Amino acid sequence: MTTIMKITADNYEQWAMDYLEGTLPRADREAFDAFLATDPRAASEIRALEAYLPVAEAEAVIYPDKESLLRRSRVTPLRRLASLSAGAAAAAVVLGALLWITPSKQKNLTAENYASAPRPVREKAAPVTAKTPEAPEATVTEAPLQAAPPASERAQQWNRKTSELLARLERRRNRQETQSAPERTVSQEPLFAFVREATAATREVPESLRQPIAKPGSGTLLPADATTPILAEYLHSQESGPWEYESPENTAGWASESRSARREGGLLRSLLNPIEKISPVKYYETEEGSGVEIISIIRIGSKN
Amino acid sequence: MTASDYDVCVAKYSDNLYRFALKSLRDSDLAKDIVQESFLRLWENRAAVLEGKEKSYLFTIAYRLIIDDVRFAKRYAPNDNLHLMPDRREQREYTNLSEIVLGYIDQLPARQKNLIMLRDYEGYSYREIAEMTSLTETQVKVYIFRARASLRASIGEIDKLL
Repeated sequence: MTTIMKITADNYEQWAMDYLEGTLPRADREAFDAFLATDPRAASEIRALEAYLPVAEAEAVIYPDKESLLRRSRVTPLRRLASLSAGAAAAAVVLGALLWITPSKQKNLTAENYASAPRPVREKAAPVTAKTPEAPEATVTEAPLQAAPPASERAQQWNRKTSELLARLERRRNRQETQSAPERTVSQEPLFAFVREATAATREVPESLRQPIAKPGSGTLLPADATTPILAEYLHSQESGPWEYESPENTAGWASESRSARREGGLLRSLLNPIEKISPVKYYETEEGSGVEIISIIRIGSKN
Repeated sequence: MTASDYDVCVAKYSDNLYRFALKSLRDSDLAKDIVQESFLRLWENRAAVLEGKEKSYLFTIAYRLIIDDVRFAKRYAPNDNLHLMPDRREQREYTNLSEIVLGYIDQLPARQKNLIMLRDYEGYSYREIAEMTSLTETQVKVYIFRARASLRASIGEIDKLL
């Protein structure tokens, strides 16, 4: 830059910074020096700045809310969270529904696997062995029920309902069967003898009800009256889902449970209806059971 | 400018922009508003902002918003927000000249202070500052010289202070 204007006290400031920073061309610098020689006030000011030029040193300041400014980095986690939330919600609904409609473990407790089924550890008890054609050998280590700890409130409630159910079933059978119907004896069911002995002291159950509840196409269930305390406590210990009979017909076993599952399938469908908008939901129902299959419930991605 | 490019700008410039606004306005809430508004405008005008000019664009917007605030809200009049940036002259516990300068910068007129920060904090050239502030380059040089001369006069005799 070449100075065209004459440097005076009124305009010297526009060259002052270039002069102080050493970027002023030689000719202009000489002209500026000539001006300073004529203006002591300006010369004093410039000399002071030459001795020390105040420069502001940057302070470290952090903007506290960067996240709110972000676009891609902020949106993506939210989308991912939304997807995960939807997936988790769907999984929770499906899991809860499946637990609800899945038959209780009671139907699996046949004579064959009853002995090996997990159950709460009891105190020392004498093994009781019983043999039947269906279950050649079954060893049970439960102590007699009298010695067992009292059932929990839930087990008691379950037990009470079952007893009421059995009572109603008994009344029905009394109406249908004749007086000459053969009465079963304990000796005819050696497998459940130990249970009968255990329960005999606690409650009186009509002998006519001590026959096994048949399950179509599978093994024989333990008699409900005899195994109720054990099962109730066992189911309680396993924290199984809700299990309630609403009518005596439901005591028929597996078939009634299938009906119950189908009936609850409507509720399940209504629960899964919002999920179907996100991901296809396939319902299935076979003889073995019913349920839903969610093709894909979680999709993680980002928008380009 | 993609969203990723924008987020890079946030990571690189939000602190500096906030410091600029905070030092200028001495009000953290107003400074945050300035930063948010500046980045919002950058995002809204991302198609028009040239690559590599994002920082200048942000500081240009922030500078204009600050000037508007100074003009219309009289933010630089004595107010209750001064506690955010205490007058360091009253502390008299300086350990170096940098702290003294920072203490006196707050006493400068708004325009001088803003230009000093753009020059010293951000390292912009006089030409760049002129473009950002809609001033001429000569005006920028004059304002900055006056600011430095004022600071130097305020500091006075260095040997007496230290």
